[in-house]
Amino acid sequence: MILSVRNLEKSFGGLKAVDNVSFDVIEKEIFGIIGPNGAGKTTLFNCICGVYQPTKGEILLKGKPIHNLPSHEIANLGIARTFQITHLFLDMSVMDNIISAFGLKNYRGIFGFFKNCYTEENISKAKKLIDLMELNGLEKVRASNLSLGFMRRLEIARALALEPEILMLDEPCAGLSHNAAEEFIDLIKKLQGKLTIIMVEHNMNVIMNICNRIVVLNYGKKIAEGIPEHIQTNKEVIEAYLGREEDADT
Amino acid sequence: MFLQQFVNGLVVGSIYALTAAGASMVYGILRILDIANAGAYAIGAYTGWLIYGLTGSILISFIGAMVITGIFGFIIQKSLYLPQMKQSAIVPLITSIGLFIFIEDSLRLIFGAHIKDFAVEVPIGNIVLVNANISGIWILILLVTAFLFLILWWIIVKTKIGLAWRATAQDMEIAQAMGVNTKQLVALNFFLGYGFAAIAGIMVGIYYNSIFPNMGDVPAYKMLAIIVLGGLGNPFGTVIAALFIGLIETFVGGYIGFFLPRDAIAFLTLILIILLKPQGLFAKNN
Amino acid sequence: MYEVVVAINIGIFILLSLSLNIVTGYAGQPNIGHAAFFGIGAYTSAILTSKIGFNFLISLFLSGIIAGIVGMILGMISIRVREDFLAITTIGINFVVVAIFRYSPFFGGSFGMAVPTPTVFGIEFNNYTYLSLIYLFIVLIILFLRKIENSWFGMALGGIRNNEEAAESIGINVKKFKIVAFTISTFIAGITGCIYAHYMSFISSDDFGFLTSITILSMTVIGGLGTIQGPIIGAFILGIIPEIFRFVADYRMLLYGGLLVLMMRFQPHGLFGKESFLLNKLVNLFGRGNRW
Repeated sequence: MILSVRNLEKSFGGLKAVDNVSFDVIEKEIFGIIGPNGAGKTTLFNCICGVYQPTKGEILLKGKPIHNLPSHEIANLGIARTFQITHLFLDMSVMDNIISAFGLKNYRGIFGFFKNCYTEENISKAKKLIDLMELNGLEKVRASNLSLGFMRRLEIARALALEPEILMLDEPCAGLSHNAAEEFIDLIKKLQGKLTIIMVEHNMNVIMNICNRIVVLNYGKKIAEGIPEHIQTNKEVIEAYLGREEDADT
Repeated sequence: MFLQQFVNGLVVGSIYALTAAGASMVYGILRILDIANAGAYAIGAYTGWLIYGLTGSILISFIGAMVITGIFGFIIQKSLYLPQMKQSAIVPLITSIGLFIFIEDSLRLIFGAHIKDFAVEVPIGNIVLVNANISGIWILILLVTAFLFLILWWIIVKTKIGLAWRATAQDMEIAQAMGVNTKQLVALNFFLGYGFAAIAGIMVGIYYNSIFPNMGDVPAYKMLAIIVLGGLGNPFGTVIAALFIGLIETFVGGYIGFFLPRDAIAFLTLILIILLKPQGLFAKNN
Repeated sequence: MYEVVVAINIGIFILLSLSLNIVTGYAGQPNIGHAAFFGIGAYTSAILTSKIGFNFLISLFLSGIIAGIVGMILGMISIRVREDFLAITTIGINFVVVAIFRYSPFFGGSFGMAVPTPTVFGIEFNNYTYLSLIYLFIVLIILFLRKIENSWFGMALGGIRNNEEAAESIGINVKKFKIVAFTISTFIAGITGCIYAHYMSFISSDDFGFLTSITILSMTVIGGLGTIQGPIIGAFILGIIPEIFRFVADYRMLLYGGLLVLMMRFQPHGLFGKESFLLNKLVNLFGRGNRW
C-alpha cells in the first residue's frame, strides 16, 4: 500500500465535489480513476497533489499523512504530476524544462539553490529521459513551439525527472488522436513495474488496456473499484455512463 | 457643512468613476490594464477646450470630445492591444504605460506646458440650502455622470450587446464559439471607455478652470487603485469604489493633510484592502 | 570630465536596470516602483551619514539592507496579490514612499537633503572614485547574475515566470523564491541609491518617483527582459541618446514612451532579448557556445 485515501471529502461552498471516497493504491501498480464528467476526479487528483486541502478525511503516503502539505513538499516526498492542460515552462527549452525538475532537493533551504544546474550528471540524466520519451532532436526547441503530443511527452519527462515513486497523470490522452493514444500506451508500458502510476482518464481504450486496477467515481462518490474486467461489467458503472448519455440525448 | 462635504465627495467620486469605468471594462473582457485610459482624460479636456473655443457650445464640445477621444480609443485597440492578445500580460501593461507617457508628452509639445483657462458659463445655477452651497458645475457633473452610467447600465443589462459583453467577460473563447463578435465588442468597449474618460477630463477642466498636459497623472494613479478596489472587470463595483474614495478623500483629506497628501489616500486604501482581501472589494469570482 | 559624468549616470542606470531585471525579467513579476527602493537607499545613507555620522562603508551596506527589508515586505505582499494587481500595488508603494520623503520634515521635505562627500581611508571621493565604485559593482553584479542564470535559483525564477503551479509541482516553493528575488533586487537598488546620494551631494524626492521607475523599466524592457546584456544595452542606449542628441532632451519622455510602445508591439523581447531579431542575427554571425 503506497497511497491510501481515507474518507476523503472536498467541498466548495455547499457543493461536495468529493464525497467520502476511500481506496488504496498498491505499490508499482498502474491505477486508474474514471467517471463521467463532473464526477470529482480532478478534484480528488488535486487533493492528492496538494493543490487543494481536503475538507475532511486523510491521504496517507506510506502511512504518513500528506493531505495538509503544500504541493512543493508533496513533490519532495516522491509524488510527481502532470496537468490536464499542459503546464510547461513555455519560454524555456525542452532541455531546460527537464533539468528544472532535477533541482528538487536543491530548491529547499537557502544556499542549495545557487549551485550550478548544468552539471554533466544532470545533462546526461536529461538526455536519458529525452530518449525514453522519444524527444530526441528537440533539446533546444522552445517548449511553446512543440506540438501537443510532444508537449504532453515533455511534461511526463519533466515529471519523471523528479525520480518519483508515484507518477500522477491527469487526462494524459485528452485531445490525442487514436494513433497518438496508442503511442502513449506503449510509452507507459515501458514504465510498468518501475514506479506506481495513478491516472485520471476518459479514454476507455487506454484505461482498460493499461491499468491493473480502477476506481470509478460518480457525483463525487466511489461507485466501484477493481480490475478492468469487473469494472467493464459492473452494472452501476454502466448506468452511470449510459445514464449520462441518455440525459444528453433528451 | 456635512451635506456640502458629502456632495463634494460624490462629485469627486463621480469624476473618478467616469475615468475608471473604461479601464475596468477593458479589463473585464481583455484582462489587460489600460493605463492609457487616463490619457484619454487629458485628450478629452484639450479636445473639448478646442471645440468650445470654436463653437461656444458646451453640448457640442462634450459630444465632440467624446466622439473624437472614443475614436482614438478605437484606433489604439485595433493597432496595439488586439495584436498583443497572445503575449504575456506584462506586454500590454508596458504598452499602456508607454502610451500614457507618449500622450501626455505629446499634449505638452502640441499645446505647451502652461496651464490654459477653460472658462465656461455653466447653464445651471447654484442651489443654496441652509447648510450647503451646491454650485452649478457640481450639479452638472453629477447629472452627466448619472446620465452616462444609466446608459451604460442599460446597455450592459438590457441589450443584446450587453449580454454579449457579459458573456465575453466570463469566457472569451466560449463567447466567440457562440458567435459573439468579440472584436466589435472590444472596439465598442474602448470607444465608450475613452469617451467617458474624455467627459471626465472636460468637466474637471471646467470645474477648476484649468487644463494642463499632466492633468491625467493623478487620475491615472487613482484610477488604478479604484478599479482594483472595485474588483477588476466590474464597472459598477468601480463606481461604488470611486464614490467611496471620493468621499474618504473629502472627509479625511482635510484631517491628515498635514503629513500625507490627499492623493496618497487612494493608494493607502488600496494597499490596506489588498492585504485584507486580495481580490478587491467587489471581485467577480474568477 | 563630461564623459565621466555621463559614464556615471549610465552606470547608475545599469545597476538599477540589472536589479529590476531580477524581479521583472527573471521572475516575471512586474515592479513599476523600483525607484522607490533606489530612493530608500539614498535617503537611508543621507540620514545615516549626515545626521548620525556613520561612515560611508557602513552606510552603504545599511542602505542596501534597509531597502532589502522593505523589498522583502513587498515580496510578501506580491505573494498575496495577482500579477495585474501587483503592478498597480508597486506603483502605489512608489507613490507612498515618495510622498513620505516629500512631506516629512525629517527627510527635508520638499527642499530635499544635503549629503556629505565621503572620505574613506583618508581619500576624499571624487568623480573618478564614484566611477570606479559603480563599475566595480556592475562587474560584481554581472558575475552574480551569470551564476544565477546557471543555477537552480535561475531555474526556479524561470518556473515562476512561466507557470507557478507547475513550478510548485516540481518542488519550487514559489513564495520563498519571490521573496528572495525581491529582497536581492531591492538590496542592489538600495546600494545604488546610496552611491547616487553621495555623488549628487543633494537628493530630493522628485528623483525617485514614477517617472524614474518608468525610465528604469524602459531600459530593461527595450534592451531585453530576462537577459544580462539587455538591461545594460538598454540603459546605455536610453542614457546616451539625450547626451548625443542634445535637442532630444526635451523630448525624452516622448521618446521613452514611444519606444516602449513600439518595442512591445513589434519586439516584445527587447532589442537584445532572447528571441529578438537583432540577437538572432548576431548569433548567426558569431555563433554561440551552448551551456550544455
